[in-house]
Amino acid sequence: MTLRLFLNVVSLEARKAISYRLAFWIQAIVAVIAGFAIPYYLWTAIFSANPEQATIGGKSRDGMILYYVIVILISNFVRGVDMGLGLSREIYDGSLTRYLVYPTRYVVFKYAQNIGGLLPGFVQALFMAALFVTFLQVPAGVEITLMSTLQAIVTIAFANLLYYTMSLPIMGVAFWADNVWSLAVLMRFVAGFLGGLMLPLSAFPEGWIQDTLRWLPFRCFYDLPVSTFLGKIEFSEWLQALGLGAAWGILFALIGRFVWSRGDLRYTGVGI
Amino acid sequence: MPLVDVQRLSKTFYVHKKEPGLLGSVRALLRRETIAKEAVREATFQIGEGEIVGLVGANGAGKTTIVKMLAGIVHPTSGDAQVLGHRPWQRDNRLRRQMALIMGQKAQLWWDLPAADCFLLLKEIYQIPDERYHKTLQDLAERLEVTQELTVQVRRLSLGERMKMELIAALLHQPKIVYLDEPTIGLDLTAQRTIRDFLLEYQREHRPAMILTSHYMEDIERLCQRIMIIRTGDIVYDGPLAEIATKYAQHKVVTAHLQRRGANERPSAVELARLGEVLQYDDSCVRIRMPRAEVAEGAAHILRRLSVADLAIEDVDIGTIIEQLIKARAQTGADA
Repeated sequence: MTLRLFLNVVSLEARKAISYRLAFWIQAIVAVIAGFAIPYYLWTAIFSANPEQATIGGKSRDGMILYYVIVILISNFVRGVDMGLGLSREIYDGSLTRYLVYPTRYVVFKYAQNIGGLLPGFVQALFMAALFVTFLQVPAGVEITLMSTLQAIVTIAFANLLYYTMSLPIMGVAFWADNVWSLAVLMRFVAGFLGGLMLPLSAFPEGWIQDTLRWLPFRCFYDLPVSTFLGKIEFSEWLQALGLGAAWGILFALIGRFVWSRGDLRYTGVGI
Repeated sequence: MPLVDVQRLSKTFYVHKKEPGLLGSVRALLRRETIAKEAVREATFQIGEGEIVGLVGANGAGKTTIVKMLAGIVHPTSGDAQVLGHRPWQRDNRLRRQMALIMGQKAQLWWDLPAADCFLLLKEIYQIPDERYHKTLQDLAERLEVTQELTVQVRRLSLGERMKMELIAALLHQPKIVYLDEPTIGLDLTAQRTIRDFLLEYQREHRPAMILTSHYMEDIERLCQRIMIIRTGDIVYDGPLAEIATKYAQHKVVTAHLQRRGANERPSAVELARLGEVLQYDDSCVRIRMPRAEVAEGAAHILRRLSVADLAIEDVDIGTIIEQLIKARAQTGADA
């Protein structure tokens, strides 16, 4: 697939994402309000109920809210728009057929579509940043620099690719099982829980649990980008984490390749 | 050298069986029975440049499965096929750049975008040079009379307009092989005619090999010189459409419209029955289905014995013959 085609697919998908004006704005506004209001009121209530406890898992109230606002924003970029489910649905309903006829690689084409679909996430990110700056302060000890921002952007892009690669073998199960919705939900839950979406990894029990989590790929999805953005990780540790994530990515890609090549033999192209 | 060369191509699908009802569903959770369904059995044929071949058969006969294998969508269970020198299911981009699949029952364009945007993407996918792209798009859009609709969201187009856009999308890169799966399904008569005329014109100018599946006999009769009739996975006829009648229709129907005068001299029904099966015999008309070899003699007899105003000798409708061939259960060569 040429870069020009890749960019065209990204552009096409972005145009699709904004082709329904009302839905676009409602989605953006609701996501922003929910993404900001839920952690704000939840953690304000938790800290108010325990006034003697200044930090939880090493984070103050504002620190915790900041973590969740960023993690919610990042989750849009990492997971993409219904990316995994989209793949399995196309196997299930036969929409995969049209891509098999095109002289292009399906998984790369879908990845480009996934990138294009992230456009609403950018708009949400701008709104959320504006809300945070208006209502809260960046907590002490948090240092957001140009370098940390650039590193975070690289990490988010890497996490997006890794998440996509991880979803390939799982969604490929649709060649055998047709409906893999429950697997997709399970993957999302596991990645969210062990990756720091639901709880910062620093809040997990210290010791072997945190050590194990550091070796798993899930950390790259949420905890690593947030820590990188907030300047809470050394450059060498960051590189090491990306290297480990890349190793996992290669493993997922190999498994995915195997699953898809076997599954392809079973594809029946239903619907035509 | 044929563009499409198919040798003993077979496909067996394995499908799960499930008993009806709640109990059946619960049982299926624990144990499922799998049954093998032979969709295509040892299909062998060749298609040359500029040919339009119609695949005709009942639902589930295997025609779409043949198209799917030749388009590289599904892998065969056994046998081989070469399309432009490539095995389609290996999905070589050199082949995919010269091939198109139009699915009447499955939209290929992006629903939420104007067709023009979809075409631009296809231009990149097929790496069509700018000048050729603009020229081809303009030509196709004008012929199909959809120039004004190019900027309208695909989902807002009528079914006929959408099908025309699908055709443009499939032909933009000027493929050498075109698979058309039910291209006129669900369209009104005018749209069907427009699409048939367009396909004929396109085929005359560009000479691609086309494989057409359709349940509409008019598509087949108008577009195909050659047809393959498929019955439960077997190709039971592969040859010129025109020869179907001579080969399988053992009878012709002779219709004579009678003049009013001379009614008293008319022969009896028994006499006419010696010529063949009398389908109609009244004051104004006589219709007799008679053996093909005896038509000349029978027609002469009618002209001698009756005051005929007009006489017509017709083959049995080709659609009816094909329908009978599709439905026939016997496996003997006599019926096929």
